[in-house]
Amino acid sequence: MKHLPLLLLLLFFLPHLAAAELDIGMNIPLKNKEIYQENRLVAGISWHERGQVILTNSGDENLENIIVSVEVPLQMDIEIPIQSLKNISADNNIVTARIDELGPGESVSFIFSVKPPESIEFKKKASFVISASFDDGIGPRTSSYTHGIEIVPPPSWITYGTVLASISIIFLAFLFAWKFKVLESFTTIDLITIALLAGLIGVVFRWFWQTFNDLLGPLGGLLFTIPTAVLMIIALQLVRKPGTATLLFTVVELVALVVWGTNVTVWMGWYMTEGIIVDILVLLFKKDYADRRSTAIIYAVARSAYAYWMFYFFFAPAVWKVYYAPWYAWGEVGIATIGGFIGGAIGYSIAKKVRGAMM
Amino acid sequence: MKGIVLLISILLLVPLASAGEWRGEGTPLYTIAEGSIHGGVYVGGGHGLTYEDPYVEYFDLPDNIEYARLYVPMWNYNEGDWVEVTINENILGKKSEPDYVAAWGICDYVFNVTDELSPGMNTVSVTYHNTNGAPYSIVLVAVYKDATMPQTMFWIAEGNHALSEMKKIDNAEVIFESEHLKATTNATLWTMMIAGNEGEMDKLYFNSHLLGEDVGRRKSGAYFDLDRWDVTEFVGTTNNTVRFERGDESYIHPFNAILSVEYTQDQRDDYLQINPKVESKETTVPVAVIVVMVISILFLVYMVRRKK
Repeated sequence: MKHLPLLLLLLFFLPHLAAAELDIGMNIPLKNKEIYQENRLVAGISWHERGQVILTNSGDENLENIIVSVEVPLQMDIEIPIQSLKNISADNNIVTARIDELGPGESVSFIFSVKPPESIEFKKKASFVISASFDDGIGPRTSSYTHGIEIVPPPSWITYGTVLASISIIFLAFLFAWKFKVLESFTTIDLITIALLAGLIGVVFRWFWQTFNDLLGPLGGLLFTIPTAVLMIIALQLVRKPGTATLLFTVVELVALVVWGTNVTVWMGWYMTEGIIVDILVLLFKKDYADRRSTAIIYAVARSAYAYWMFYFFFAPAVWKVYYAPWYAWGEVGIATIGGFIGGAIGYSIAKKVRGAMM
Repeated sequence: MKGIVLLISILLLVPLASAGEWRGEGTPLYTIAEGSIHGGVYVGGGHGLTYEDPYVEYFDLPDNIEYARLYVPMWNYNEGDWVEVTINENILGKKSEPDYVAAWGICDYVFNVTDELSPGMNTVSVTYHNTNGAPYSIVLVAVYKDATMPQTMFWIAEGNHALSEMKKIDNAEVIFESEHLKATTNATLWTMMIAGNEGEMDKLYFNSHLLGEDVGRRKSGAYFDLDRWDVTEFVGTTNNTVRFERGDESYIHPFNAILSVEYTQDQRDDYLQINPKVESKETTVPVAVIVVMVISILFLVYMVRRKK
């Protein structure tokens, strides 16, 4: 019974104690989350990546003298961009921000930039530890939050490794072509056909796609995958030789290199694999050069899906150091698959008629 | 078979009949404004291609802005796109036509914002409609008056010049003309470039002095480089030349060069001269596209006739 007044006092003050709340959140990198992967920084980028700390007073009391400290992991270099909040500084891997007052329901945010490490061996997890002290009218209080991120390669050895693999693919493809006299089996007409179809893919339809892809919004990729699939099926049906697809996509990149100045020399081997996959499928289907609609669709879907998968999951992180959000990247692969399906189906009909007219 | 030939021909000719989106080589840098003032020049901005919408940048400005240009470089311009700039909650309205456009739709929206800015912190926000595109940055160039400061001569050059391997355009120059650069000190040059790549060696010269190599390397943000150079020891008494060399870059777009030179003592009356804006050249279909289409059609016709 003697503890009852104490209990009542505690119950009286408890709502007040619970009412003062400072919620802390963080966004990094400060990019469109619909496209880019959240909480993932890429090692070796040349710029500082922005992060944003958001503070929200979710309680009923006015918060004053808020001091926020952000411990930046991995000794990353810090820059403080110009922003509306002025009392921000960085020292010894700690970003400190001072906010005079934050009313109930109000939010305030500040930004800072960090430069990810030049290179790391493997994917690494790290954390930004954010702590805040403030006065809620009753006394000093604290709040803290830990924001986990992932620092991912490519470290240089992976990039060099992919270049080496690319060169190896080129070397093996030439070795295979030489050993089995693949190139000798192509007639002059075959080579002209492949060169022109490659020109149409690499110059005309690439330009067409770059020019009009916005018209279809997120489905813009179809403007390239469908014509590419159609022309690939035409090439297979007209030329009808092992290695046709590999030669076609090799010439596509060579043409793009000359005409558009795309710098793909060291990655050429990987681009060749788009064709190698199709040529392997042709052999698996017992030299069916897209002679059936079903095989035409299978080849076109395989090439389109593989090409887009390579772009979003290999070239983007390895070459351009960009990590796309998984759902976005897989969505694009899905659209490419649809493009391959449509292109394969149409390509079969067109190729059959073109072959009938020319051969 | 005639139907197929016709269909393919029409399909190939569709791009010719439509507005070409290869936007050409763009506009070489030229001096849009120059003058002298007791005061200085503010150049700031950021922060690379992030696809944020709205895209926000802050500028902490001095008092007495006499002249200001705001630049919003964008990726992937196409007809129907627009940007809307808001400065300190004052909406400037939608702008659909970029001022300069080049290559595959790298463009620049430019705004005269002299009367829109306030002393102290300014918030500039850009919302946009651009499928697959976004701002590279927001950059502000402002000339401000301060009677306590020495007289300063300034030049603001803008444009959007696509230096590209494809078109074999290897360098670009902008000349800041003057006959009054005597008794000077503290010369500063700012350059802004888009689409530079790390490791692809470009070069930047000021009056034949090499200022830097691999200047365009995305150091200020993705595909964005804003640099400040102390060129005091290189500044000439008459014309001063900024030269961008593409080097190993496949593409690089110089967008701005701004020079300010401080006099040790007053040389002339303060003035501001605004030059006429240079319009972008009309776009064309690349020759390679036409050549490949024509050869393909000829080959198809040849093969069909050969069979007959």
